[in-house]
Amino acid sequence: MARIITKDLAIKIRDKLVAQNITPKGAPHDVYGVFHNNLLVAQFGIRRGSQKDLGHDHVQKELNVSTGFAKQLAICTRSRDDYLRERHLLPLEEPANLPQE
Amino acid sequence: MMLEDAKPKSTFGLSFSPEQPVPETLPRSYKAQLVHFGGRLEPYFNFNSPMTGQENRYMLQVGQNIVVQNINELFRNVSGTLPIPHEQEKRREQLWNAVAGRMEEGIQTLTREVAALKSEIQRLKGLRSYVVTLTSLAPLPIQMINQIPVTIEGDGEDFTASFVEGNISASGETEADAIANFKESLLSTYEVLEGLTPQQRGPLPTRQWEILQNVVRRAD
Repeated sequence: MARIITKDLAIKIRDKLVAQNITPKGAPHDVYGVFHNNLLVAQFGIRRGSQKDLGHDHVQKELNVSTGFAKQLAICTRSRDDYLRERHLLPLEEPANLPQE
Repeated sequence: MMLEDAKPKSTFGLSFSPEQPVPETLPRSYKAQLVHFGGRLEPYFNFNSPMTGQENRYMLQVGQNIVVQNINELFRNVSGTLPIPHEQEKRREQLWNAVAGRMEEGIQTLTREVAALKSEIQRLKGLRSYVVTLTSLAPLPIQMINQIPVTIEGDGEDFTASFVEGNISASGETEADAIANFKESLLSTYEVLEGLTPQQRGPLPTRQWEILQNVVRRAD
């Protein structure tokens, strides 16, 4: 793996998705859940360790999105709503209303 | 000889006239014919002079290039030497330098691209992907009901271990590390989903839970 998603990016994804810490007691890694309308939509793990470049290429797999989408989530071009739309949990965006002639 | 009335004709198929200047440089094919004709790089033109009705031969001495300027110059220098124009040589050199420069740039670009491709090939050579079957989850508090196929992907520096069907994945610096982390992730996922009611699980966790129940269960 090319270490595309690092721990640093995984944390940004967690923050972008407003994921909540749902780590079971005694688990060696942190587990975060993405909730929407009180439903757990997805969960993913973030490894403990101080290294910011720790490999987290499993995150996109657990979120069930492409590597590119996960990276865009981390670097701000994609939002939580984009993720929910990607997972078919939000309707697709309506096209902008065109001015009436 | 009246130049205006001259109807010159070369023995090589080139027709020159006072109105139409002779091309500055003769084509290569004519050069070859000239060599064959005289064994020397000396154009040998035949002109029919309307004044005498006789065939006149004019020989031009040339240097490295076969150069004539125009028919008038030719007539004025029938017994002299036509020098190779200096400007023409300079221009040729400039053109050649420009071509050589472009070729050098092209070679440098190609060298860079080949180096990048070599590096990419080396990286791809290092990529590994294979499937292992988990046989045990010990010492975790869950046990296997069915075998779990785990896909290991890595490039020698980072690895991921994934149970694709169950949407569970973990990373590690080594294959063993990735598998160990995967087992922990499997347990965490199981415990999180176990603690939720069906109404709290979204589509993906619902599917995950159904699959997990078929492969693992709480250890006795």
